[in-house]
Amino acid sequence: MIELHHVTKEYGKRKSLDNVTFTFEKGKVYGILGPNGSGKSTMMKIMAGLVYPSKGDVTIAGKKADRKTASNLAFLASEGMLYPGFKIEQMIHYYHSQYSDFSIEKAEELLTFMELDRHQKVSQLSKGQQGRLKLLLVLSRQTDVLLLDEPFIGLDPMVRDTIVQGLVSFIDFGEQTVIIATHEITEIEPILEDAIILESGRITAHCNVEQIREEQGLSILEWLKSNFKKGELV
Amino acid sequence: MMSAQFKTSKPIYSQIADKIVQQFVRGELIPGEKLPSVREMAIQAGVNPNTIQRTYGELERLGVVETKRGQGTFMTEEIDMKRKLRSDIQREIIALFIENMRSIGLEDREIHESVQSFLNGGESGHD
Amino acid sequence: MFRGLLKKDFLLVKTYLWVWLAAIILLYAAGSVFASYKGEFYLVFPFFILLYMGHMVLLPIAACILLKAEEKGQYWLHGTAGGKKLLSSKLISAFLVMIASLILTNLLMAFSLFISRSSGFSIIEQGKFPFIEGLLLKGLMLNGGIVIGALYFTIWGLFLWALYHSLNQYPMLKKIRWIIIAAAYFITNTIIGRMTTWDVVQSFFNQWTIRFSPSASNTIMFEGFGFTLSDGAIQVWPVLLSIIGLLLLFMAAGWLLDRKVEV
Repeated sequence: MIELHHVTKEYGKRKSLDNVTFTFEKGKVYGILGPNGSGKSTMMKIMAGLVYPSKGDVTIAGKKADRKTASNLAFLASEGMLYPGFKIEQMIHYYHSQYSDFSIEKAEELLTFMELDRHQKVSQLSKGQQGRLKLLLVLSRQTDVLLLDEPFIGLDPMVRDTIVQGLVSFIDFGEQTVIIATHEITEIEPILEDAIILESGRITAHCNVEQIREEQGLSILEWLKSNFKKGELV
Repeated sequence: MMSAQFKTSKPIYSQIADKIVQQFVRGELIPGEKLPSVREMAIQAGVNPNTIQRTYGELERLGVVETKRGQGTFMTEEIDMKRKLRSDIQREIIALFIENMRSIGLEDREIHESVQSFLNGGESGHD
Repeated sequence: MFRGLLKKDFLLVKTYLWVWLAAIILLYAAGSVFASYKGEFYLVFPFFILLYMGHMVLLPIAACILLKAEEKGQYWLHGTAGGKKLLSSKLISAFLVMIASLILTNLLMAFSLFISRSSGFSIIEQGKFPFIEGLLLKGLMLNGGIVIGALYFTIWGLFLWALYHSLNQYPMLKKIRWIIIAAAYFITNTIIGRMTTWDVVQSFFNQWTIRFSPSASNTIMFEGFGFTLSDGAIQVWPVLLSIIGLLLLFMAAGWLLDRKVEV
């Protein structure tokens, strides 16, 4: 579904992604895990077509990723999605006008689910409400790919649970390819199928979440930690 | 509420299966009762629907649930199943208990005595 | 989709527009009341000159506000609308702001002229304010000149903005981005300015002129724009070339936005 082929992204001498090759399969839920600055965000933006690789290429359903990719890919970015002066309903209408697959009915359902007031202004919303609104805006679309970049950033645990439930309720499992980049894993672990560890721009490990529990008796967080310890020793 | 309830040492699908079995044994789920759909269950538990699919599959393999085509998943109506599950769980708990007691160096005789005195309302200690 | 973009951009700039229009009215009201209290109502006219000139920068400022709103994360690029469409929407929205303001200014101006006439000031006979004779034509020329000038600055602004953000991915150049874009502007304009003074170029320009107002005797020069209006005749080539140049600049900005501007 999404193929990264020897992808490198350089900012001057600094390599944000370093020769990454990976295939995301259709209909699976992936977690991209790693500390801040490991290249998670760059990887997400490259797949969203907002950043272009310096070397290598990225294809989504066989087509090269660029700005037009957005027509079949919903992207929850960590910043810049909301206009502070807009009311929630104006944000919804704007997204509806920009993406032909945006469903107003789904947005209405999500408004109720996320307990948001359509007349409130974005600037008056708490961090948690903004996070929920962003999720509403991407989940109201019917796309083959859903990218979530740090959907939990700055949210308290109660809100995180709502968001996880929102994801389970509104993701089209088995059809949508979902990729979640985060460094706060505990909440989403139960919905992940596969996890990838990204470290200084490279994929250092890839696993099936349930397999790790079964074979090694580790949660993904513990697995992540054990992988990093190994890395430090080398 | 959701993620916190899962232990790390076991796959999530089998932890949910355990929970359903426990509810069945306690009578919270009755024979023939319809279980939530995979999707509903996934939302309740906050997990990937594939996990629930696996849970139901595993339970079906064990004969605890039955999937009727087009109708959903139901708790078994087999009369012996509840008793069997209860004795399975019983055995598991006892095995774990005995293992723990032995690991702190107790003889079988001492284990027996301490259980007896605990049940008689005294302290379990025997110094 | 484009309507959605326009609506969004209008919403982004709306508050600024109302505040600006209110400020003009308030300033005018306060100024004119004070001036007529002093018995020197004509003092409002210098205010108008300033205000009209201000419209040249009003359009680029409005466009700047609109672009600034997108800078965080550049999420607006994540869509199926291309760079040209995105920028057109910005330009049109900013343009509407300027037109609204220009209309208000024209109304206030007409009102002031009416007042000063009826209160017996002889500005008309003195001919100090040439707006009165052939008011419409002059007004149209003034408005047109302002609009053209403002568009010129704004399209340059859009291009330089896109260039500035395209340089983001080269850390070596990042620190000197301002110098680069300033150089891009001044070098281009110096070259064009030089070239228009060449005899060959001037005689080429003079081959095609249109006379439109035999009485006009003033010369308006648009610096860097190579646009001369003298003796009521206008050179067609510079106008045409300028329009083509601005169009190219706009296309280049759109291309940069699609291919080079990254988050």
